[in-house]
Amino acid sequence: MIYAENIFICIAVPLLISLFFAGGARRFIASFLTGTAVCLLSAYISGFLQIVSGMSVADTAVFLSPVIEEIMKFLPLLFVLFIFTPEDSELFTSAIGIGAGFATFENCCYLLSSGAESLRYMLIRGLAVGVMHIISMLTLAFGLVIVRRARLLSLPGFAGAFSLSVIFHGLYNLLVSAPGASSVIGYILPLATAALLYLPYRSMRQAGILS
Amino acid sequence: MTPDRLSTAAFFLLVAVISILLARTARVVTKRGDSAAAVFYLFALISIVVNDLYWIAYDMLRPEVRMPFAANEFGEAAFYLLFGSAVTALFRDRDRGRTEGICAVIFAFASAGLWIAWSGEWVQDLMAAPVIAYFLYVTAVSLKQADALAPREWSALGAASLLLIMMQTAIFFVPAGLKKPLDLACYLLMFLVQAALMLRTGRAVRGAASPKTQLALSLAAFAWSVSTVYMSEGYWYVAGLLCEAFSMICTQISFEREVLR
Repeated sequence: MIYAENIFICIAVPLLISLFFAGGARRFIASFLTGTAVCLLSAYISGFLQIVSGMSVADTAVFLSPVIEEIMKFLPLLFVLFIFTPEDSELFTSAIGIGAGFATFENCCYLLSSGAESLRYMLIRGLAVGVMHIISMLTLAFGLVIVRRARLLSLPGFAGAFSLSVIFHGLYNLLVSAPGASSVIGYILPLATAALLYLPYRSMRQAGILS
Repeated sequence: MTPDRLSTAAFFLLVAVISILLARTARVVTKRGDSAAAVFYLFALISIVVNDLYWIAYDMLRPEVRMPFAANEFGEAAFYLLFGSAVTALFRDRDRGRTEGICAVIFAFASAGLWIAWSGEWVQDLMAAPVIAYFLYVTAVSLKQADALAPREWSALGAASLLLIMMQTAIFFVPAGLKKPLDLACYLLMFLVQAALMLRTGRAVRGAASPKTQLALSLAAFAWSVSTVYMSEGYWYVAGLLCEAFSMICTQISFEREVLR
């Protein structure tokens, strides 16, 4: 058993204090902190739903966690979008911060529960899970920016971007749930998607669409 | 060949087709990064590819367990919502085609009621219903805005949709001996409309119709094929998937023409 709340306090306090002195990095730190808090809340909700639904731990990770975690990450980003009306680059910063905070807290808990002896597994966790949470958040931010730019009927666009991040996360969790070739594909998936996502990002930057 | 094997083969074909469309759309986005429609469409195709990969991975990793409510429901929803948003970005007149759109929404919800009656999967079907309804609404509005159908074609499409829902509903109430012929009649009606829409789309794409008209007709053929696939099983399901692949290719061609115009 690990004491996730204690780990959260340990990570959050220095970040909280640095917020007062961070200047330009304040937005990223606040988002990072939000990401860690959201990770903790997601774990509570997943645990609760696991008991209520009677699912196994593995099934919860495959079927429920992607939906819950993406909802929990989506909410603060929506809050930032509607309350602070940030520039596109600021929205991307917030999204990356939330994703990185989430991944970091999840990794910390994983290290404490499973040990950190194997460098190979640590690399996999960093390059796969870490990148996956950031990519799913970037996908979301992308969707929100495009919806806002195009001045379209917002709800389908928002819901579409959110759903895309859920299916991406779900596929990753499904692939890594079984050993062998499927998990290798799962570990490669986030980095491959990052490369794919770079294409529209670069085009939109060149076209001057992203501010 | 059994329907299961055929449907798996058709499914792989569909994935291959969508992958090619994805590559082509990525090229369109590099040329027209300023087009919201192109970026939405790219994201929609990514969603459906990821969704299909999810199905393939699930079938391979857990072949013996029927899939519960899972992330794939969101994958499908993402596809229709983002695809619908891409179409909305191209057909921006919000006042034209509302009546046709509302009729399409009614058709979608009536179909969803039938899906629930058949499968008993309340959660999945209740989640899919508003998403499909939105997509059908967008399709109907685009058909109207592009003036893609003549008044008598609208009447025929409306009558066929109404008849189909009535016949599908009647299957639950008629005596056992009548169920099979009625079911067959439903399939014939569905594929008759599908064939008519595909013929009309094929002609428009090869002919001199405007890109918007081509796109609207392709969307109609695609939307109908989606509905057909949801309402079919066995060999009919495979045929529906093939129609879906054809409609997607036509949609891609007309979409590229419209966006790169």
